[in-house]
Amino acid sequence: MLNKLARMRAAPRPINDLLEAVDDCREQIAGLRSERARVAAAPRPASEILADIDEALDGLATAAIDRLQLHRLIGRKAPAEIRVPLAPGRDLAEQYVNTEVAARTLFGLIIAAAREPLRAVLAGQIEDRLDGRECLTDTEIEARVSEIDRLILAAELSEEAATRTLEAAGIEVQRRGDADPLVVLAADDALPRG
Amino acid sequence: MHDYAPPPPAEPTKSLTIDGIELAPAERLVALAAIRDQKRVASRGHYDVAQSHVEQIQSHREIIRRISANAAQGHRGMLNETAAEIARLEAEIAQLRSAEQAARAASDAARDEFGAAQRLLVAACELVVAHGGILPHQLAVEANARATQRLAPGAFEPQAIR
Repeated sequence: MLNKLARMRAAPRPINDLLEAVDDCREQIAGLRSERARVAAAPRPASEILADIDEALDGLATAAIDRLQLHRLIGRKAPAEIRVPLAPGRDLAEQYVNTEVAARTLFGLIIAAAREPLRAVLAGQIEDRLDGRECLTDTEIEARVSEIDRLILAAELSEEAATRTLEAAGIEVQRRGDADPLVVLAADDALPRG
Repeated sequence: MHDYAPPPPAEPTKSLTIDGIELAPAERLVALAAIRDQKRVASRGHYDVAQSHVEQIQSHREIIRRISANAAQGHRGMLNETAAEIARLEAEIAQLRSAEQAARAASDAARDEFGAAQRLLVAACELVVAHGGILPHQLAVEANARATQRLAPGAFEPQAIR
């Protein structure tokens, strides 16, 4: 289609062709914009997500082990006791126990004891949620979006060229309200010619 | 005596290159403003037509009211003629109502087109000003203070207008 539009100004074209070119461009622009939105919202690759999960699991397990204060077992004076830390609550009466730290510690210990099965469960869930969708890295998204933007700009310039040719022929064409201002400001010479 | 000479008035930016695309801001902005104005004129025209139909409908209603009032005081022989005249006027009212709705729809459509053209023009003005360009005088003076701020802060400062 772009080749067709590139020949736009090579010779006078029938009005119908020009109107069709405008419609084609608008259809292409709409399609490219949808594609751009899809690409920009593409999920991260499973490998990246699992790397983050690994890092989180490592952190939780390490923190849990640290909270057990095993160094106290080494000393001869300290009682040989392993306790899950329970912090006192912070309400006025301090009548409850804050179990958040304890829960995190227990979770970390579960991870430390059964890391691989847990990781396999999480990896399976991630795969299910990705459900075959195209995954892209940030770099890939940037490159794809840049290419799509280039195609959108080319289509908009072709649309503007057709629109101005029609206007010159006395045919009024309503410009899209969301047209790129860069395109509507373009000099005639900057628009595609045959 | 001073040999001071005032600076020459700033000219609207005729040429500008952004992202490798050559622009003709002054020429294009004036063209876009003209298109926008056409849309507004069209919308206004259709609206006026719709209003004239409304006035005609009101006039017909008034005539029907007077005919009915006169007939109520007249003799029976006039009733048939009155009924026929009222029926004719009601038919005209129906036609006028239809024409009014069509004109109102056309006015709404033209107003939407005007809105789109206005948004595009504003975006184009913002782009030009953001890249240090100077707007055409015609566009600069039409903006009131509020629009000035919304359109492009600084776009209509004296150094940008002149």
